[in-house]
Amino acid sequence: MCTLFINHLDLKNMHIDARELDNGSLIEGDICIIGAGAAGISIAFDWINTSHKVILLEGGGFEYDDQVQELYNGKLTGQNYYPMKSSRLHYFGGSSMHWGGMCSTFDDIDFEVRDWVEHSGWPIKKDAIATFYPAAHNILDLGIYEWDVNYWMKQDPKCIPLPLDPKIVWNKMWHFSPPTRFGTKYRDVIVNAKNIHLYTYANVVDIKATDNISSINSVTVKNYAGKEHTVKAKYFILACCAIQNSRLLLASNKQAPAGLGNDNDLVGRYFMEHPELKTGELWLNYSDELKLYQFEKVRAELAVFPEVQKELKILNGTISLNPLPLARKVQSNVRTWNEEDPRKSLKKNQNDYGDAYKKSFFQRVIDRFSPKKEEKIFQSFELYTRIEQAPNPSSRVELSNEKDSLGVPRANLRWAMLPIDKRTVRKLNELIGQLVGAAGIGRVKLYDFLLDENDTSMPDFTSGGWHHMGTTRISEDPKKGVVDANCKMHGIDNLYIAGSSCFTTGGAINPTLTVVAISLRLSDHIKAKMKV
Amino acid sequence: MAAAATAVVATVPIVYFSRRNRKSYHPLVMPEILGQFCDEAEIRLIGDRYRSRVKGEDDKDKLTELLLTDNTGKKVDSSDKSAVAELLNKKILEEFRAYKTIVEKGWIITITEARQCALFSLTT
Repeated sequence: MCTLFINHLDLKNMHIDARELDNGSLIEGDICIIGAGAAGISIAFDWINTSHKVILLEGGGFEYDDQVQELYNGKLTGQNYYPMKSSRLHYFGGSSMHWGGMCSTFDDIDFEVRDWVEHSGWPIKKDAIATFYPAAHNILDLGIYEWDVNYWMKQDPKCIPLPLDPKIVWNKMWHFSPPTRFGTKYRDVIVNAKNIHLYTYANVVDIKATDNISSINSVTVKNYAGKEHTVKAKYFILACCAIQNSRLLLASNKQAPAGLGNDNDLVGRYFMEHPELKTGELWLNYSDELKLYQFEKVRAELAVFPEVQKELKILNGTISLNPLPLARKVQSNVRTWNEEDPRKSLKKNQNDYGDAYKKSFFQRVIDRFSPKKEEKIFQSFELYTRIEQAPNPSSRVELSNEKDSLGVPRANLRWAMLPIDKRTVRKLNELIGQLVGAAGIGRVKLYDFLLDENDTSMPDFTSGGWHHMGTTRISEDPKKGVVDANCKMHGIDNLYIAGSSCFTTGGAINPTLTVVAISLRLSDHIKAKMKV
Repeated sequence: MAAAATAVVATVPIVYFSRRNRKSYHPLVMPEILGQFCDEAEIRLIGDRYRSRVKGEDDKDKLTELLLTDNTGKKVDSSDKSAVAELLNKKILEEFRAYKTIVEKGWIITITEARQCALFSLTT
């Protein structure tokens, strides 16, 4: 009884529901992290047991709350996309509470200036991020830190790579998180940490700078209980995801009419996703389950070397191989994830995969024992292509004229792609088709939308990976980016941005591992500044 | 030369009996690997499309000649099925390795395979 009482007191001390505070409360700390998703929680986690008071602000509570989720609603234009309200989660843990767990690492080329990819090039090399990959790997429960395909081939002799030209194609490894749900796995450790003060139902609605807009004084938080509070800190870290980060900056326009950090009209621009879609079929003239490429603890996808990307003038991308009888029955994600309520979208999406598995069950059993070659499960595979999206200033987040119920203008998203995106998808698949033929192992069939070389549009069944990137991109030049190489906003000395909204280019892999790594790097930078 | 090729096509039995009740074709008219994945209708369609695109090859004799001639200009005897198959497989692999491919009906194939399909569409 006594223990419970003490724990209760501890919880109450370190977790505060902002709806229960007196209206107009002043909250003060050394660091204020805005947003408790993978990025924000990773940073907070890194500050546990330091002598600094960290304020962690979360707009929602510990569970899904539709009224809070509604704050993410907005309009879509451009390429067909997931509803704004359901593509991110707005409660403690953020979108980690429904992510799939796929992780891989950026490649060296992702950070380079490529003369065939306009607006490419980070001011840092991969090593600057890769230093933090092992720690991020651990946070995401990814098991052994090993990305070499040869290691995994040794673990299982059935994991054999396709015999494609090794000077052109390599096997890029992926790890699968359980997936780690930050809101459940890290809740207790955050709430019980003496120096981490978590405020739920604390939606930041405005960022206030000093008169000369050279640093941030405070942020204003609101909630549906009608309470409004002020948070002051030495450093502020915006970690609300790419759409909401840019929305909040644009909406904080009382002092800077174009929005904070937006003197060069860059905030919200260069929104990137990972376009992914079914692109063709691989037909083998032998039976092989291609175990190396299937979902296990890890798997490989087909990638092409940087020299080849340069020669073909294409973006980075990978192709995964899914058994065709099953894959044919799975719909495009953008067609099943179409509900405003993220819970309904998730269910529809999962049901689609479940139904496909059930519908193909008998065929898969029969195929296994049938001598008939056509459509044998271990003979035909769907080519599923995922590419980096070329940075495009017209692909952007803008403020709507409509406001949410806390008075903040809603975000509208225009997802827009460039001809190089489509060309990359086509060229990658053509190349794999040529290499499969050259290896004498089968043939590749492209899907119809790739056949017209003059058609530069992406089909409306193109999905994204629910990966929002690039709206506050890194560049050392304030005319080309919103934040510097340390993720500090240009012109403002104590405002930092965490997560994938800083990505200058998005690579061709799911971003969560790099989101956590770049957030830990940012945390490390601020620690060094504060001499922690 | 063209007349001789016609004679070759005319005298070579094109369709063979298959042990799986599926027709087996002379290698000149049926790409070995592609033929495992496409039925006759699709092979014919690929051939039709190739012929409509490459007018200069819309001719049995021309196609036969092109298919039976190797890189050095040497011709193989069409009645020697295994020699024909060997030649065509070699040409196909070389074309793939040199990226001399085309896309017909979505299939990434070589010109030799397209010619085989074209001949199939003219002769069966």
